[in-house]
Amino acid sequence: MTELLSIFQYFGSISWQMVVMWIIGGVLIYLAIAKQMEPTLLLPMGFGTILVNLPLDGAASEEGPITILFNAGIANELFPLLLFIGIGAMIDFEPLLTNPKLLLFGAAAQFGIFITLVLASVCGFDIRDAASISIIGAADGPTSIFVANELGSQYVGAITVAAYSYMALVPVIQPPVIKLVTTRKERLIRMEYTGKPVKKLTKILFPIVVTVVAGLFAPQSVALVGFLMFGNLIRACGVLDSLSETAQKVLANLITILLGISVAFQMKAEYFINVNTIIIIGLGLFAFIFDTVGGVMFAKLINLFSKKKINPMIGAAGISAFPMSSRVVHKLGLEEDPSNFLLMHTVGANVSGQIASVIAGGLILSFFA
Amino acid sequence: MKRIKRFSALLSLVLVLTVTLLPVFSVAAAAAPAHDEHYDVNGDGYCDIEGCTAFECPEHKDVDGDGLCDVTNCNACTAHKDEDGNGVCDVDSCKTCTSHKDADADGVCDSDGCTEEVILTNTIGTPKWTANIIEALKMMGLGLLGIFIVTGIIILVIYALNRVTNTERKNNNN
Repeated sequence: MTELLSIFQYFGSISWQMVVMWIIGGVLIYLAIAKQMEPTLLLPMGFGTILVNLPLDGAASEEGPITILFNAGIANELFPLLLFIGIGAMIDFEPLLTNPKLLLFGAAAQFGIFITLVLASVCGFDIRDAASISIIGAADGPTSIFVANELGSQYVGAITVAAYSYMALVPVIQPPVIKLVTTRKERLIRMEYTGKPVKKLTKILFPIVVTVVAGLFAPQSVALVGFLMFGNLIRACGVLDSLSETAQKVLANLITILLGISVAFQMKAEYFINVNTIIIIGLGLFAFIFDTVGGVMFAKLINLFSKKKINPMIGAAGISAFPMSSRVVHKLGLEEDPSNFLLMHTVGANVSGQIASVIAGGLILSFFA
Repeated sequence: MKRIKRFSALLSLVLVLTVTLLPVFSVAAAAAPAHDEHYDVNGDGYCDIEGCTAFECPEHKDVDGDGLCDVTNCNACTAHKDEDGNGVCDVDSCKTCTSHKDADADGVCDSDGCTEEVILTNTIGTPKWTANIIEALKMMGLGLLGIFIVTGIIILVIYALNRVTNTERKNNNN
């Protein structure tokens, strides 16, 4: 009888915090499957959350598999960088190269990062933690993980969950914010697309030049920008189709699986269940909102001095959530005027946001170098 | 000829911007907190506590109480330190790992005393809190300026690239 009862011995180790984390893990899995919100990351993270919050730390003990994966790929920032190769290979920068001015909207749409940095400091976070939290506004998971780890933040788990969740919620967050800061007349502004062809040489030189420029001005961004641009170079060169396809599909998927489950190491109850997590999630939402506001306001500022008016919604597409944000803004434009096709402009702004977000991450790191 | 002149003008602009802005960034970098700006005036192997600003490297410790901060702690402290080798991490280093407690009240936090409690280190209203906000505002200003400058330069470079590649195509056609 005693031996029979001994199989229940570990039940006594279950705490209420573990149960809460199981529920959180379950919610992430539900959002991934039922609502299809960033399933590639939220599902592994959700499952990993349950895994690391079981009694006696089986998977996340000192030599547990999740700990090994975390040390192998998250603690040394390797996984986010490898994922960036895949992301770079997926992006076509041609709309940006046709109209390089769109890069300014990408820059403006990082406003949320810096204003959140101040707000997080006001909330009482240490400056490094505030900077790690603010990078949620980059709307880019690998950048958020990279910067938060590099700064030694203890909130990597909460930051990652917030970043990926809000990226998936862009279609919910952005439209009301855009409508709040624009008038109907502004949303009806038409923009013609003159698609000038871009030479292959330009597409090849672009990633090299961007890496060099970003590296000279923000050396800490070289890893992020370099890997992103390396992926893009593989795509643009035209002689490495198999590598490009591998990077876009196999590499990206493989690293996403490992990243999702190993980030869960930071989802242990003792790190996650506290008031700070709720504050971080709130600050993440603030960052996204002000990214949108920053991009739109910048476009409106340009309109004050420009004869050829820009639809200010394009600015909102400068957020790095690619390609979701570009589709959201394009859809808003069609809702106002079914014949107003903004897609190429929004895609250009959206890819520029990808570059601007990694530069912003590098600048944040350079402040602590 | 006109195109060559325009391209030269564009390239000159890029060069001028680079040369002008590099000193700006050097000054900004010099002004930015650097962890290796510690001084050892008396050459005894420990950095002098006056040279370690409280803000840039707040984890300076003076474990042996000699009035000089210990040189190994002059870098950003993200891990617990045990300067005195007594098997418990020094309480000042608990800043970045705030879940440690001092259960035996010996002035150093116990590595075994980790609880789920996480304490915000910069209580609202303290001078450290104010200093953090000021630092954050500085970073905001520099960050926004920096990102626009870098993206502006990338835009100019893209224009230059487009010019060069279009000029080459036209030369080949001719």
